[in-house]
Amino acid sequence: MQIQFLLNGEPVELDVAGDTLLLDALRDEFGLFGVKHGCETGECGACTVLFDGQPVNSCVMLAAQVEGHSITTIESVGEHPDQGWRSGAGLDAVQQAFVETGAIQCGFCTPAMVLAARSLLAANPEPSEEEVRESLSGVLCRCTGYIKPVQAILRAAAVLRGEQVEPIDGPILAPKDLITPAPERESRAGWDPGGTQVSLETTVMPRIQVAHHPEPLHTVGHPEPKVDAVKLVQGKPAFTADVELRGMLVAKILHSPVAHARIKHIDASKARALEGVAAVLTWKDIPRVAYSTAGQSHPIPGPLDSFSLDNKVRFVGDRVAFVAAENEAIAEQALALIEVEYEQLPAILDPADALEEGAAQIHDEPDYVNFDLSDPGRNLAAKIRIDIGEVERGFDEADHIFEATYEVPKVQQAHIEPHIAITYWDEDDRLVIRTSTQVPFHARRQLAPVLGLPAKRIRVIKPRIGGGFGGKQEVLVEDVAAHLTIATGRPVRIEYTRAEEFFASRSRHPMRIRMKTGVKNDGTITANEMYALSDTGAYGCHALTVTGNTGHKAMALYVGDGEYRQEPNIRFYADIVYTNTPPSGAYRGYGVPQGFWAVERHMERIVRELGLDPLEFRLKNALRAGEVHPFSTAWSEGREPRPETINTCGLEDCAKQGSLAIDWFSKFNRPDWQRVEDKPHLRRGIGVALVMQGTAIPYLDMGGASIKINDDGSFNLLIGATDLGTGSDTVLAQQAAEVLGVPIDDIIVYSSDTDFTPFDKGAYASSTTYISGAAVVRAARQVAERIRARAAKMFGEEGDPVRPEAIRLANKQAWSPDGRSVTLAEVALHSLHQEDQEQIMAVGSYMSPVAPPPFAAQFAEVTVDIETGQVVVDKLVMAVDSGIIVNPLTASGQVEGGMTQALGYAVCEEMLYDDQGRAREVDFTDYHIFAAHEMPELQTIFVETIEPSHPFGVKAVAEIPIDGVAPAVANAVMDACGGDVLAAPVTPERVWKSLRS
Amino acid sequence: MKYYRPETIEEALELLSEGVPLAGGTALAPERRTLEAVVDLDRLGLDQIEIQSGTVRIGAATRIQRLLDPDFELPAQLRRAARFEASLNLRNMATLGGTIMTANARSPLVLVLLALQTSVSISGEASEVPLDKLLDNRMTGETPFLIERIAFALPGALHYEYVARSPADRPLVSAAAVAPADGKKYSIAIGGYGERPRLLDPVAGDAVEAARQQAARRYSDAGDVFASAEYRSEVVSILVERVLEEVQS
Ligand SMILES: Cc1cc2nc3c(=O)[nH]c(=O)nc-3n(C[C@H](O)[C@H](O)[C@H](O)COP(=O)(O)OP(=O)(O)OC[C@H]3O[C@@H](n4cnc5c(N)ncnc54)[C@H](O)[C@@H]3O)c2cc1C
Ligand code: FES
Ligand code: FES
Repeated sequence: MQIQFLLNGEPVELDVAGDTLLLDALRDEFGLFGVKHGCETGECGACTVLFDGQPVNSCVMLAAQVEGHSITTIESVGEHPDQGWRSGAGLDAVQQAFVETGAIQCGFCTPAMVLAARSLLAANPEPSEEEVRESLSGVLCRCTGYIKPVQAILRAAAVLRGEQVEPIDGPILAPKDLITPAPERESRAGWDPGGTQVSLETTVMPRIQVAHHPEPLHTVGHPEPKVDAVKLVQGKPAFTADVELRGMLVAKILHSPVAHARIKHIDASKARALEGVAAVLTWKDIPRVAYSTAGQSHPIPGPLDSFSLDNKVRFVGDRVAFVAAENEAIAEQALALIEVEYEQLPAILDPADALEEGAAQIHDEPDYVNFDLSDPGRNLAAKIRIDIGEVERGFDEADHIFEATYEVPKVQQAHIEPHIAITYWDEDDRLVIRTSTQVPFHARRQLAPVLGLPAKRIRVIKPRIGGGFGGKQEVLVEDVAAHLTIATGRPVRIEYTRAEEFFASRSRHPMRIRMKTGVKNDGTITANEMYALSDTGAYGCHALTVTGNTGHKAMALYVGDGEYRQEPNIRFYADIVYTNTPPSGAYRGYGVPQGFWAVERHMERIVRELGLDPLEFRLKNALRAGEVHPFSTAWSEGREPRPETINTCGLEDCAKQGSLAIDWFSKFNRPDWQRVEDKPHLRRGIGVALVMQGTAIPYLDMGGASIKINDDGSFNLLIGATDLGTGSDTVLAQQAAEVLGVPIDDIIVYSSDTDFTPFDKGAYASSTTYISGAAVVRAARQVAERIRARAAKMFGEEGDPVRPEAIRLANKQAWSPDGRSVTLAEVALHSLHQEDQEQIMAVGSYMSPVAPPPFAAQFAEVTVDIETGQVVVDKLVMAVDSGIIVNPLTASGQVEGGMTQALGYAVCEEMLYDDQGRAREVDFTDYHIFAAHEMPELQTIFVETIEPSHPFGVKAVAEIPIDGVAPAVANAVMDACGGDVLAAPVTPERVWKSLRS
Repeated sequence: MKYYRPETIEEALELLSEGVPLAGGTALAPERRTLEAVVDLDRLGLDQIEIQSGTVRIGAATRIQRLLDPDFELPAQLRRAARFEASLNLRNMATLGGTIMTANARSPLVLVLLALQTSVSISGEASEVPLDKLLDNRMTGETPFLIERIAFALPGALHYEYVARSPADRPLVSAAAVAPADGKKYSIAIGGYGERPRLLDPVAGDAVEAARQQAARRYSDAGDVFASAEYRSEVVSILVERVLEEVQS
């Protein structure tokens, strides 16, 4: 049918089928790739367009519905300010504010937010914060925690009203003393409002207890806008899905409807005969290669127990067959035509049943490859037994023994961009895999044997990523597209639906954790023991390493005091078992949130039982700077452990700063504060959890960087590190710019492409800023050295000779001690064109012998309805020691977004299965993630330390924000009403039950 | 799938022999591959809101967001329920008719409409149908029918309460009470469990305990994956008490 409508202000005509979705029409017919796909059911808002000026979801609208209406997409808004000889209009005010405030992380939701904001501001030029939040209620963001987008919109509103807004250009707020509950904002150095009243403060900067770096820093430490912000805010076609290739097929997977079965018979002939089907692959059609889907370094620290396709299925959602067809509708029809006969086997759904004598064996294949203590005959994917010190003696010496069992659920990463990959043969007959991955280099290495290609004939390109959070540290869908490209010779695209994300991807390991702790009357911990039963689901990807970190981080924090501090007694045992449920895997925090739920709930119960002070007790027993990381002598991700001393620990200051910011001392255990006036059924409560994480895997994780100079004195920075929205491209560019003495926009960053960029192990283990950052600094220092040598030569040609070491790089120039200077552009021209020509460039790489832990204190304030058990989280404050903060905007963005994900873990996120192993949650209605209009207040504080093992003193910030919220919330519930919830999330019914028992 | 865009109700009714009504499409669009034909209600003018002598009439194709429009003096708690029904993006498309046709017991808006003793006008039917009855018969008819509008009397007082895992999550348990303008019995609806919200038998103002017990009884088997029957049954009685107290004060 023919429809006519206004598209971005222009009348257009379109011939569409009645069942074409507006989203598909806009992307496929008009190439408007700023409209994103995040789900199929209207829940995420990534596909937002304005329909007669109002935000709507184009994925739940037929194209035919827009006849006679007007549609606006992000493509009609703003442009890059520099258009060469044509003077450009620049970004629009909302876009500009998004860029400046750090409101963009992965940017996948950004076009939607910008459109929603413009719609709001068109009708309401002076919106309240609540109105702004309401306007964003239809757009889920998994990265930001919404603070910065909300602030951006308020800021844009002020700009559009013609008011003056405060610049966000640092330097950072640096209160001299500890922060008090209501801080006076100091005026920014170097900014004079000129007497004009500033209408609005943009509160996107975290508060920072500054550590003064020995050398003054110019770019590191500053709130630089993200290097990819301008493209993302315009909705440029930067993501995996945003390309068109001629003849590209659509791939779909036939998923198992049963939890455990052998495929007795499979017949794809009817599907193959369907017109428009290019290929159907079953286990009979492709080679059988055992591999692991976990994207990790060689050799993989886990069993090889996966096959692209197998004659057995191990969970509802497991792979049965692949189809490639001309379009999605045909592919789906073909799936229905594949005939499969299953011989059902008994299914294990409860991890406690997996180790039972006579339990069904989930992995009975002869080609299973063991790693370490894995034992498929007992359904054990991995097993850990760590004893530090003399645990039994510690228990004997204790005055009190506390024992309890805690539980954490399976949860989803829920990145808004689903898993997606596009594969094709290039003109050299090399297989190109364009994919949304956190691990491009591992993907290439691990896929090579699976596809029967040498690694050199595979090229993996990682464009912008719409969030990963560990879900994309997995080689999950690339093989499907690649097999189908090999089968058909054609480009193939596979993209998960939201439902597939729930039932056929990876998730956080659910665990049952038993704690036993010995404590003396004075509150000294004498021994601490944890046993974790961890459920890896049907495959053992990340089984050993995730659960290892549960102990390695969470059980390392409390070492005891006095003599126990010298020689801590710690035991960590774990069994990681197979069940017939979707596989667990990597999810931000990597086992550590599970551990801290148990440890920090347990500590709180000890404190309450013994009548101790929660902060004092914790700090008394916590690890301190100068001490050996207790696990460093015992375990290192399945590799050889080597002792490691903690250089920096800001934990005590974190606890102080956080408690002051949340006004702990006038709230904790204070009945007058706990009661809510006129609401006898409500109680307020406050809680804390202390946490630590790691920074990279020592002696293993490596990142590389290369830097070269261009004619104009700008630099290309090529890195294998994979920015998945975290801002790593930006903080790496900042570190390069700092060394080279240039502004960050003279650094052109490209990441990542296995053909062009140096190796990097990928984005995980909170390592990029630290590991890849040190690699960048190494490369930059070599380049700086070449520049100095060249500048010395140039100075010498025209005057007194200068020693290269004496030359300083600053303001895009090389300066001699006597005040002469040459610009880097002159240096570049000299070296590339004029004399002794050479390409000034260098490669650096870095591997660390240590993994300096960041520390943090997480506080939560809640209101509990003691009759219904409903918990409302009112406020979250996190004070974090992440070393030196390279970029306060991106770093606080990590903390805000991490706390928001963790808030879901605390109160509402949970994946459950029925007695047939079918997922309860397959969409964002049942699996609720927090939206903009229901958020508690969030506050981020950084307590800087200078980590000596990194050139600028940084430690990690990416994962730690996810560790403490759930226990802090549950501890706050305990403070409010005595409710003692041992299983996360803290749902109304669990609180209600615990109050009745 | 065929797509029709009739200009009149008569035309629409004729086309409904071939396909189903399409309102906002937010529930229907994902089902498109299973449908023969859809009849778009966009041009039928079924999007009027009228408030006259204490009676509110709302066209079935009215988008939910319009209920929040300050131009119409609708009860604040109805707006609150409408706001919780769906996110802004969905409210901008989804309609009242579509919501009534698809709602389960977790729908705040339909719960409140039920408590308001809403009646529904269906094309070709002489008299209005109580919403309570329509919710039972929604999907049973062979030929699709067309809801034209709904109507309810402006209440003396109205209150809605719910319990959920987070403020914008769908309710696990919910209740709404209406104090009628004419001072007769109180109307109470409960929700959170099952295919649709339920009306309690109307109660006298002082019969709080009776209402509590009635609600608890109704939910004595209301267990599912999200909450146990034990929990729902007790908490619904608490919510019923709260909403009743609220509308009495
Ligand atoms: C993400 C998401 C989450 C949701 N969660 C829930 C939930 O948890 N609980 C819940 O109850 N609802 C839920 N809904 C349903 C939501 O309320 C409906 O999508 C929406 O209200 C349907 O309105 P619509 O106008 O878009 O209907 P459409 O999609 O156009 O139509 C829906 C149905 O109603 C019929 N219909 C529409 N108008 C009429 C009419 N005038 N006369 C007769 N039949 C008509 C259609 O034929 C169709 O069968 C959810 C929807 C989405 C998209
Ligand atoms: S709401 Fe349309 S893609 Fe998710
Ligand atoms: S920035 Fe919002 S989803 Fe990533």
